[in-house]
Amino acid sequence: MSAINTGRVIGGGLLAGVALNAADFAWQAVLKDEMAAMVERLQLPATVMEPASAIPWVIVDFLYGILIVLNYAAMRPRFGPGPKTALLAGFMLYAAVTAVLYGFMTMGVFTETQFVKNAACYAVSTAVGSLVGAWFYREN
Amino acid sequence: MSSIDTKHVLLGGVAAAVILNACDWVINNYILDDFWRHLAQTRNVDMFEMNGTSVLVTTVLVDCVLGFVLAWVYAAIRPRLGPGPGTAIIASFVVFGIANAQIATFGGWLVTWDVFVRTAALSLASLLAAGLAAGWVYKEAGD
Repeated sequence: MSAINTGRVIGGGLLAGVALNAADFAWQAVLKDEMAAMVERLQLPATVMEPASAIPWVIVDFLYGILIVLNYAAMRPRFGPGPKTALLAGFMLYAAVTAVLYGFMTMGVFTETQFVKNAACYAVSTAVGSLVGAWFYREN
Repeated sequence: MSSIDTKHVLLGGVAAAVILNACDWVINNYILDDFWRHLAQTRNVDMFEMNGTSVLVTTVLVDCVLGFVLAWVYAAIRPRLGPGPGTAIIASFVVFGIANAQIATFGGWLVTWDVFVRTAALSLASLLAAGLAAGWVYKEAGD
């Protein structure tokens, strides 16, 4: 079995990160009202809504992209290359993230509407990121 | 390439989920008890709701999902990386990375960074233990 092509994992991951960030940026319009309501409900500092607070999200999207492509590369010998494996790689990680966020929702941190909208938007972002990252990935 | 052994993924997932639930029970009730109390007070979250049955059931279900994802990722990457604890640890790091990266986006506003670092370290320890258990349980034809 050939080794994973690390350069392509990082390259594909960063490309997936760009796609994830672009998708997340587009979702801000959809999720803006829920976010503003959450800031008020949880008595959060107003700085949460400032552009600088998006920096961790941007970094996390790149990390998410790299992990998706790493997962895709590791899964390829079992499922074969292609978009189906890419979506499978992305959605297994998406399931882990969504499960954790669901836990926060039941604790009262997010409302049900906010959770559902976030999960739907993130599913689309994950699909786009996975396909873009996997498209870039090649074996040695 | 043989397909994933679904029965063993389920068994591995159950083993991982049992460990994750046991770790979470200790972590949330003893190690991070003060943090949850503080979060409820400062963030206008109902403490009664936070300690309620629905949160307990959800925590158990979330750990079950994470356990099955761990076992599935281990099974999926096994042909490339080979069976054994090394691959189980990599599967654990992938799941840990994505779950905690998401929680890191709450750092500095919902949770303080020192609390995030503590929870991440504890979560890593429990996911490593769960990943090793899932990898130990998972078997394929010919093993």
